[in-house]
Amino acid sequence: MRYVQTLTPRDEQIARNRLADFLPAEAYDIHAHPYHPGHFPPGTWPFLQDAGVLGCAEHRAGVQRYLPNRTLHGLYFGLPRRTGDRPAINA
Amino acid sequence: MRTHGTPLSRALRVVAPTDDPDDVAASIRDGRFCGIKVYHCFAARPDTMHATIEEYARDWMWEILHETRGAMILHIVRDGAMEDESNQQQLRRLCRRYPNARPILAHVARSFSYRNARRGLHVLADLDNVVIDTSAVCEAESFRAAIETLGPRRILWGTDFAVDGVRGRCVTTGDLFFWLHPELIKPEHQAPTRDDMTLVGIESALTLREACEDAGLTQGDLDDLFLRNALRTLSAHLPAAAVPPPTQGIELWQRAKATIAGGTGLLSKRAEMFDERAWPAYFTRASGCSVWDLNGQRYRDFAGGVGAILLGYGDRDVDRAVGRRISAGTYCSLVNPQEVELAETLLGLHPWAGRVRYARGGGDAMSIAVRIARAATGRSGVAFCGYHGWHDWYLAANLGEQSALDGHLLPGLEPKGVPRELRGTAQPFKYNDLASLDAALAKLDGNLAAIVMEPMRSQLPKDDFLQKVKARAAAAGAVFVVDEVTSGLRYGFPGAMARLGIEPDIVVYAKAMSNGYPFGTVIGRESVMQQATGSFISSSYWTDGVGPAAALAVLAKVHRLGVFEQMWERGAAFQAGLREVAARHPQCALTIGGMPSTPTLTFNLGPDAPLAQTLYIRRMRERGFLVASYAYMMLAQRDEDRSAMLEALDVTLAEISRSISEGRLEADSGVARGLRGFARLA
Repeated sequence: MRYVQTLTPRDEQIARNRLADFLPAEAYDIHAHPYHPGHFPPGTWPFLQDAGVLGCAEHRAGVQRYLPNRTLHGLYFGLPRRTGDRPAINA
Repeated sequence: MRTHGTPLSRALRVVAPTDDPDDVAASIRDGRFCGIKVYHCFAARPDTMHATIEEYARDWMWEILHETRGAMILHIVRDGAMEDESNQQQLRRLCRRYPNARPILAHVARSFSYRNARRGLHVLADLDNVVIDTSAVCEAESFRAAIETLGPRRILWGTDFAVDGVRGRCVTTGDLFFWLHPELIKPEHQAPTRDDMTLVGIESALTLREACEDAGLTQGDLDDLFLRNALRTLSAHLPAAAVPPPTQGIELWQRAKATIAGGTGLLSKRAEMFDERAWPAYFTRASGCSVWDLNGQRYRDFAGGVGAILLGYGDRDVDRAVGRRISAGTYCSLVNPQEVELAETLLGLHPWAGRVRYARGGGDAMSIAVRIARAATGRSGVAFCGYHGWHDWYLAANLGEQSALDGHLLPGLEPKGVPRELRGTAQPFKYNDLASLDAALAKLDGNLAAIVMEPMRSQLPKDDFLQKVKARAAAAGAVFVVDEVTSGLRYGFPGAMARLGIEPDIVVYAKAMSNGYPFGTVIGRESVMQQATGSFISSSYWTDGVGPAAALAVLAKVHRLGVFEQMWERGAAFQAGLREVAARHPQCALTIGGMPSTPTLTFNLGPDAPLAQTLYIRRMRERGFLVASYAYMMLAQRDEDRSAMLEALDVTLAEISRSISEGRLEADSGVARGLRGFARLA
């Protein structure tokens, strides 16, 4: 289980045929987690191994690959973990 | 976020119970964050998946959010999610204590198991500050339950980025759920399509779309779900220009009056009948005894849909019966067999009757009844008491005599367009007044086709009044028609006449009989109905399937639960409560009358009555109640709804008393003294 960087042709086909007209031109993602590997002990989030830093731009790009629209706002908050560096996560 | 986010993007601070409240509050007040993210992992116990909400979302956090109108993403845990009793109790307490806080329950209130959604989301319906997000849920049934229970104005789209980028989905199993990922499937069990298991985000979006399509959501609903609901939820932390402006129902009402004759089809729903200045006028959804206006403001409704709703709005049993009919088709070239099932049910409840007819509203059904009476007798005269609708036979009473209908519920009804040749065919008489009936019969001079009346409305029959009316009809060879449009199912089962032990020639039902769906029925003696067979009475949509499906479900439920008895008993207690409150405010001169299941409230203030009435409606609306000069009991109203209404009434009457004593009633109500306001007579 890992964060997928590249969509398969079938993913793209679904996005194109069944989702492209679903999301309005402007949308607000109310639940988005930015991620920085430096904020957690190694291995905390296995699915994000090798994902690198995921910020607002990565969020928009990641979502818009299957739900294309023009403007995507986000409500961002860090992944909660007891072992995380919360001051850094919240910075 | 500030560097790379869009101008309207915002952030939440991840907060633990051990954090410094002052520091957290400061970081929201100074705009760094618009709220907080709490999580069970910060609860002080080893098995945090069983933590209660208060263990990780402490009161001090809610207090800060209440002060700052901040948001909280709340991911509840414990098996059962919103089905869990402690989650329910704690969330209710916190949301009510901190109403300005904006909790966003993540993952459809953690309904990864759609069964949790189906059985638990109803708890959120009357928590007005709670919304949910859709993130990472992959069960269309969870979304359907949310749409049905909360409506599209309380659902916010979310992705759970970066979880959305993982292949797999969450599936319901038993009462729990299971995260299915391709890596969990052993090679020997892998299907050839293994690599094609799609992303959580795609699966979530697909199932959300399916649920939205199944529910028939409009583009406007989707715009709410994907954008506007989020902007409203975060409004205190966004530029004012970015937040959708509230829609004033009264403004839409002005547009309606410019495009729809009369503004709407029912006189009793016109805003002017309540409070022309601030009546919400329009609803976006109605459920139980709650009504939500165009801005999502919830009201507890004591106006009862003008008497059409007995069980409550969107009653599940009735809606399911109607839904089944809609799925199978409501209208085609053949006839809906439920018509026969319903006819046999109705005749079973009225053993004196032999035939039924169907209509789609009370006025139509009453018009059919009068036509039948005229056809059966070959005469045209009608003696009537009470209110019976808009048709010519009834309004003819006001031809040449503008006040004949006064005292029959809605005074001042104009007979414009009613053929003047009908003058003299309808003669009114007063309830419990045999002399007035005899006078009406004398005016009809042997031309009596029917005596038409409601069995009772604001007073009970005295001295065998109904028996005597029936005897006079029989003696005159006329048809005794009883209008149970309002009293049916409320004053007895199936109606007041059955309770009073009187068998008329024709009885008419509508309103509560179908609990919000168009329907009316005429039930008559075999002889009368047969004599009228040759009269052409026919209409396409009198054969549609929705009304009969609803009526069958209503009759079954009302009978099964003893709804009439319950409403009468609860109404009597409520009526006593109303009298108690009214007595505390003698300056208001408020008289409580009517039947227990439909109490009436009348300000006996002469020309000031409409002013006090308007102020009463306005102040009660401000306190979250829709009221009128009558109150219709609904099964969906709980004891706490009635208690809250009485408390609000107490405060409201105190305010009106002050307005009266300080001579400010006209100014406070905004109604000019001498202009007629709400004029429904009880």
